[in-house]
Amino acid sequence: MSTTALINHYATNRATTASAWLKSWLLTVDHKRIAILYLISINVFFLLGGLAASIVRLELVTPQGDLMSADMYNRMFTLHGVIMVFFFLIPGIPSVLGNFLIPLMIGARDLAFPKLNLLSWYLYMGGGLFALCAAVFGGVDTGWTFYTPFSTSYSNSNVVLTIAGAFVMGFSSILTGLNFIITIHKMRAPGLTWFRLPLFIWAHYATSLIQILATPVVAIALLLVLVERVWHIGVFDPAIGGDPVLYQHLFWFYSHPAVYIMILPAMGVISELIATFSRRRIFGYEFVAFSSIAIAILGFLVWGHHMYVSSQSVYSGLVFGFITMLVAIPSAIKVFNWTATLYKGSISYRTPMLYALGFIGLFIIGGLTGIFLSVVAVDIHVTDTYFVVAHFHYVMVGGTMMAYLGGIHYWWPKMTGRMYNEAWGTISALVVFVGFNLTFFPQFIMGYLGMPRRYHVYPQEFQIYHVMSTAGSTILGIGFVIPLVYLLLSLRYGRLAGDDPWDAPGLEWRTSSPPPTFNFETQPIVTEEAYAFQPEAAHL
Amino acid sequence: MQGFSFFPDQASTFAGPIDLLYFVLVVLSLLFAGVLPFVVLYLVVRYHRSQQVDRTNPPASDLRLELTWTIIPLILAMIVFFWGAFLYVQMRTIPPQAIDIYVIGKQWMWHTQHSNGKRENNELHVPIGRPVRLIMTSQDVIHSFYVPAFRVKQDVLPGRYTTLWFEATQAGQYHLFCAEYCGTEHSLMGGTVTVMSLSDYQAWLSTPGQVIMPDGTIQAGTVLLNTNAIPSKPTTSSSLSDPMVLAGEKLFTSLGCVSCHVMAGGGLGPSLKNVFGFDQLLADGSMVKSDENYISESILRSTAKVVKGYPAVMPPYQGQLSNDQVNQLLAYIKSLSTRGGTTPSAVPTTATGATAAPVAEDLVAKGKSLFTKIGCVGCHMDNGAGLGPSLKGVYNSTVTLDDGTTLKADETYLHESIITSQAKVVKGYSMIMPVYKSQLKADEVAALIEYVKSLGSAGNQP
Repeated sequence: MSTTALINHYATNRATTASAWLKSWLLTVDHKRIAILYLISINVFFLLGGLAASIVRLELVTPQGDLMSADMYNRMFTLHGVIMVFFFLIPGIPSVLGNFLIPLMIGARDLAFPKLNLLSWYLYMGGGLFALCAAVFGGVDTGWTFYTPFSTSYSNSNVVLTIAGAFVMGFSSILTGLNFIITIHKMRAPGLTWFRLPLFIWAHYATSLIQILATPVVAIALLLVLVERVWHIGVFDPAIGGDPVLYQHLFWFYSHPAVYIMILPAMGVISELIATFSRRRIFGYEFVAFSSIAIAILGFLVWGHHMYVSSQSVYSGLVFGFITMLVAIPSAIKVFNWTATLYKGSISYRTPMLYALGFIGLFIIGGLTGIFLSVVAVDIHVTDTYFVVAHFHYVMVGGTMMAYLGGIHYWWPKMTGRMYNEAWGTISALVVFVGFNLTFFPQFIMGYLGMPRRYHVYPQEFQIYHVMSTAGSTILGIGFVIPLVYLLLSLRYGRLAGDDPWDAPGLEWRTSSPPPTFNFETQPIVTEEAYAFQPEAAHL
Repeated sequence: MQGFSFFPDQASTFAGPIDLLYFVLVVLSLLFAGVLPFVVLYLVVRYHRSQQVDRTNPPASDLRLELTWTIIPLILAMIVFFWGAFLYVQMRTIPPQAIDIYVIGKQWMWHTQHSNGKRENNELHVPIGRPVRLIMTSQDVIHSFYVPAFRVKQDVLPGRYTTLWFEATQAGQYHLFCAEYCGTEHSLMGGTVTVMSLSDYQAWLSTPGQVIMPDGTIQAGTVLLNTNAIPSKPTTSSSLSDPMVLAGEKLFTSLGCVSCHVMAGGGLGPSLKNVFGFDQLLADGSMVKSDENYISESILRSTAKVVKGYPAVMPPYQGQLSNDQVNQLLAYIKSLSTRGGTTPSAVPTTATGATAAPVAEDLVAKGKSLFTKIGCVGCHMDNGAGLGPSLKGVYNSTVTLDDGTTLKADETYLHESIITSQAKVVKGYSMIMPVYKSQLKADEVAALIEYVKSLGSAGNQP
């Protein structure tokens, strides 16, 4: 493929007029183009969610509510939560990287249902528009958790629109999961057995199982919220005969597994990055693969650990606490195996690897503080405080976000055919790491000291931690903007990447960058296991 | 801005053990989080591409290693789990001699009510060295009662009772927070827990304040004649002379409960003697433990769980009784049982300070009853000791606001201060009064204004 053709690969692709060009994008059924549609839209949502977070952090610099009213503050943290959870973290890695890479990694021409894939993107955008309309028409103040009966009988904000958005987005998630499962089952290249699959595929397979099994439950829960709010049919509000705790069960039955929808694909990405930049097959491949499945299964049995103080019985608390302890083990197994992969590797500190190492550091802290929270007696003190806020940001931002950025950098040359500026890449990874820790580590301390979450004004003694956190978030924000700039610049100025810039063995590197519409010139045939790096005899 | 600290105040018997467990968790975490990153750093430096090191025969997998790093963390996790579980069971096992205090949460304040009838708003006074059980419910959405210094937290739900217990150990004032997001003023829904010695607590209970009278009304400026409000030794049953019990008994009679629930038996409904705390056999053959939740459910949704052998004829009282009234009935029903728990005895009598304006007009009378009913009286105490200013002689007087400006307290100002209470706050008082904009009708606001006017105006004290 010539240089010009590479640059224009996605942009023009047989389209000569502007409207034909637009049509070629909006009606595409090519999984790679749909992935790029997701990449753009998901990043726009990420920036909006980030903006809301910055406003929240600015307000918290002082203990008084001086920047905005309490109602505005409540709308801002809700906007941040709704956008980040439903429109960035849940779809993030599967819809962008999974969509782009699953067919390439398994040697297929596309996903099993290309039109369904496009429909998923439209559902995502439809849900997103509902949520954005809710924000534009005055916002919503329930928190992303929509707890009843506040959301059904008391809130005076756009609950219906926002919930409609999350509901519609849920179908996008279900359809994507369905598409992935069938693709992975039916469309693997000849010779690509299950245990030759890259761990990225295992992780997405586990994620897809959760998506199709758990998402319908939250869809039902949200629908019931609408039914009660609009028609006053008593489901959750005790004043009209409902049960407010029932909502929490239904909500967390999805929303805890949803945490694994966010983190499992991230773990898949990290496995790829560590393998490539250590030039070694992942140590204990089977253990890493099955730990994904174990997490997916156990993840369905721990929702009650969000409800230790909700009036749950002592027995429920103990059982949920026990299973939660068990779910920590497969996560630990992954971290140990990644570490062991480094042994006798041939390691290079490229940007994706820096993000992967950052992921390991932050995920260790996120995971360990999860243990604190599953110890019921400690959780009673720290639940609904900044300790929990810090914990899930370490997992969601320190984990998922770091892996997302690492993955985007790693596969950027494959997606665009261009290399980004490596020096700036290194700087961005370091700035994000430092900014992240400064933002969220102080929150553990103030959480244990008793600072409740979702507070617009707070007692004076917590100010020092809030000031540190806001300072850190400024650095973190800069760390997110830097890659946006140099990645976009690389589209024009980056040097050509070639088919396989990292000298990696995966099938996605056995085709041109970016790949042709049908991915491979000839059907690839797999004869060896994943991560078959060339021996490093020269380096002995 | 204050300096760093890592542990909050320790003011209950739970604080020490939980902090110890937390500390051990931190140490265990440091073993992983402190060591593992250095292992990673060592490996990435040693095996950097530029290093000439032995890379022959890298292991692909090692079952012994996998088992090691599965089993050791599993054992550690189980140790902390069982340690935490042991503490958790303690935190949920309420000592029988605990003092009961009722808590009602509502957007956005806490009402607490001691068993001798004394009420507080956004405050809770508790004694050192005696277990205290909070019996909590919410009037609207879910709240969560959180005292960091005690390391206790419990969601407070509408339509249901939840309980929480602690034993305070350290005198002082501590934060009380609402920890479950509950709407606009969530971050202001809190106050202070004051821990005092038992004798100070007894003295405090008998100082003038807002009290539930035996007739069920709430009165301000009332003292309790019986200063020995908390018996120095725990008793096992509440006394019929407790004001809350008396109020409950009066309600029990006035609602007509008494005509079916004949205590000697033989009535249309079961006797309520020795019901609370005992298992009840229901019509469907199942057993239910008769606790606060069962009793209140049986009052509000009376046909939900009917006792075997009785017809389901009792009317449901949902929507007809306030949370306060249900609490009074509960106190009464508990007093009829040997397992009713401990409550102090004290008899309130109206005494100093409870001066009411002469009731000349209907509107003033209506305003007065509203003033008591919605709880204004709890803060706007006549003696000036309340959380809000005394309203005696306020009308037409000159008021200094917290921004230093002054204005005349005319009807417009009174109206504004009721419906958008935080717009112009009087100097020296905090901005904690709830906004009544959507909660009061125009005629109710008018009645309140007339009542305030009846308390006298500048230069014209009644």
